[in-house]
Amino acid sequence: MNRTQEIRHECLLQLYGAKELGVTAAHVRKKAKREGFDYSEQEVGDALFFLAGQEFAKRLQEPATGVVRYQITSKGMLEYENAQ
Amino acid sequence: MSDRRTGTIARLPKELKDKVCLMLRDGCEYRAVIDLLAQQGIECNDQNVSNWMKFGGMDEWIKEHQRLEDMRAKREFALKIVQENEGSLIHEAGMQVAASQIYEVLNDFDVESLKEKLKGDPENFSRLVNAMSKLSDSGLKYERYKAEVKAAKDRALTELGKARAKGGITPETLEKIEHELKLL
Repeated sequence: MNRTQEIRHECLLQLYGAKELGVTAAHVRKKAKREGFDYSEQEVGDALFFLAGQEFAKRLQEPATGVVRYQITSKGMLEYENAQ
Repeated sequence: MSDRRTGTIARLPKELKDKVCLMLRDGCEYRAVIDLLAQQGIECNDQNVSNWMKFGGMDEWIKEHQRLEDMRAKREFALKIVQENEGSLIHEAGMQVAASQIYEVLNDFDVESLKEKLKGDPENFSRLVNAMSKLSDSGLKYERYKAEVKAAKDRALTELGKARAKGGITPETLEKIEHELKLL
């Protein structure tokens, strides 16, 4: 797995773990860092954007704050489970 | 994603693989795993299981499984907090957002770094214990207040029901309701 694929996998794993709850790119990055992966927020943002493009994730924007979160879709869950 | 593991165990469907890994984690013999897979019509031998154990497949599974378990626990806790406050503190439309925010806060909390910070600093530890006892005291007071408010509301509703049945509110009933409402 190259770095890009690794980041996408990490993002999908975290989205899968959060299920119906959305997570921000900053949060994904922080959690990944704790696991020993040093990705930039830009890289994580790109991976989440890619996953949204594949319909594995949904982009949600909090109306009051404008904070962008990503939430896994059913398709994303199946992808994660099949990739296991 | 590419570079997937291609061994017999690695290619099992998730549900079955989880079952196999849980068995191996709990110390089951390879034979039991092979028998389980045979029941599902999957051919597998000692070497296949051994490869899974030896070449990191099992380690990867354990790590990911633990992470997912941890996330599940935090997610459930965040949702529980939000659901408990349903209709009071958080408007329904904001519940999902609130749950997401709580989930992130819970994930930000790192027990290991807390331990590290407290190591060799008994003063900080006693401050933390103090703060926690104050927090739990406030929590208890809040719970008691919530219970009192609920009881008062119930009493007021009962009086209202009685008044309706009688065909009107008597001055005594009105006084009782006012009294209960003042308590809120």
